Amino acid sequence: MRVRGFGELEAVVMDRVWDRDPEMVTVRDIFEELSAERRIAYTTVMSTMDNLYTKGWLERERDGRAYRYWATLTREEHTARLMREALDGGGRSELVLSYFIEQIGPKETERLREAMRRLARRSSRAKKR
Amino acid sequence: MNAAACLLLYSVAVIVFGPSLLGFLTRGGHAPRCGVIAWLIAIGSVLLSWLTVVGLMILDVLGHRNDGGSFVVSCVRWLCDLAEGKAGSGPQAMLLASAVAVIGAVAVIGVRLVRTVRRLRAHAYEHAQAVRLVGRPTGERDVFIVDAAERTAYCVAGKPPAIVVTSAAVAALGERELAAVLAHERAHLDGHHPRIVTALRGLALVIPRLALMTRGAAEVSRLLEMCADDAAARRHGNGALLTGLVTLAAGAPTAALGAADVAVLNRAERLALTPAHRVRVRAQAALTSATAMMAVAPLGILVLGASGVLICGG
Repeated sequence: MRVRGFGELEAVVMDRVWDRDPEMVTVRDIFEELSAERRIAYTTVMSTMDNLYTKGWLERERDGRAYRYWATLTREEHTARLMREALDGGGRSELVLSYFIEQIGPKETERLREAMRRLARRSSRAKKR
Repeated sequence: MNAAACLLLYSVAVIVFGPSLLGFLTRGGHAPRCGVIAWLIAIGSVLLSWLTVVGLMILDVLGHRNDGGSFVVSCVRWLCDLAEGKAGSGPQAMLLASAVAVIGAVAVIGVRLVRTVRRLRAHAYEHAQAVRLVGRPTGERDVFIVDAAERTAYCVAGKPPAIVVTSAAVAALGERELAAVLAHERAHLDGHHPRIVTALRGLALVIPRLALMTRGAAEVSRLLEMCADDAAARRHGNGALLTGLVTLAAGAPTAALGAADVAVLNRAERLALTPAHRVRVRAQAALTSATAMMAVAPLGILVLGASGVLICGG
């Protein structure tokens, strides 16, 4: 597996940390797991985890000369937070998202279906010709 | 100075008549791209007029620094006269007040706009990054599946940006529909739509009293949806996109009801009944001439001002 860019490595590291949740992990743990599959430097893993700590994704405590890391939230908690942010009207003001579709009511859904039926009729007419 | 006054007058005209005129011309969505350009030119020309007015005022002060003939200097002199108890003239007072107001307002708006856009962008980038950490990457670039019960798909700007599809949406959509939905979101990213929407949203937040800005932000995002629809429909067909639209609309939570709903119906009806060629051409022609007028008017004012026709009063 190839890793493109730093962001992708962060995702890989978070995956590993979540896999071992609620266990705490050290940089060496993650490095050993990753180096079994790819060429990677210990310092790269170290700075990635330090970054994740700075961004608030990982929490850590000192254990002798190393840090022990754990995830601040589970993957599910993060997902729920993201969806709340995306769906709670966030798209209208502070968070600019381009939705495929805004949420609509049952009456509008019915009119949408009607538009569908019209399209179906028209395309079947076109085929007959 | 008359060029500055004319430019201000022009911006007022666009602010007053622009929103309803452009709203009328773009309501059918027959020429979404022309519509986007028309709105952007209207908003851009107003902002540029304001900046030019400020520039002209500053030039005026610098140009007449020595001979004391500057309009601003004479206003200051008038203020001093007034303070000393001499009677001042009304028109000059008005000019001074408007000059100070314009320069001040433009400066405040500029600073607030930069801050707001930065905040919005940081917010979006953070969201995109979180999506990359939490979502499951797919084979396609920038596309992530997020496990959630809500059926939705969206894209968000970032470095790099992210297209989000929830697991519920993936489960509900067929392969062709999913491809059409992803093509729609990809068209947003390829067309730098998030950047345009962010700038307009920032303007609407900073100048919420001007319908040109608030309505402009809403209408442009509606038209950009249609542009993305057209791009997706070209590749995957109107049918696949429309089915995707209905599938995701049916599964979406029904809590929110607002102006956006009309936009969805609008989009669906466009996809279901592609407008006749001549309808589209007519919409394009109307929008193009409106755009040309809005682009040429301020330039004309400047040219006339530079050639001296408007300076007679100065």
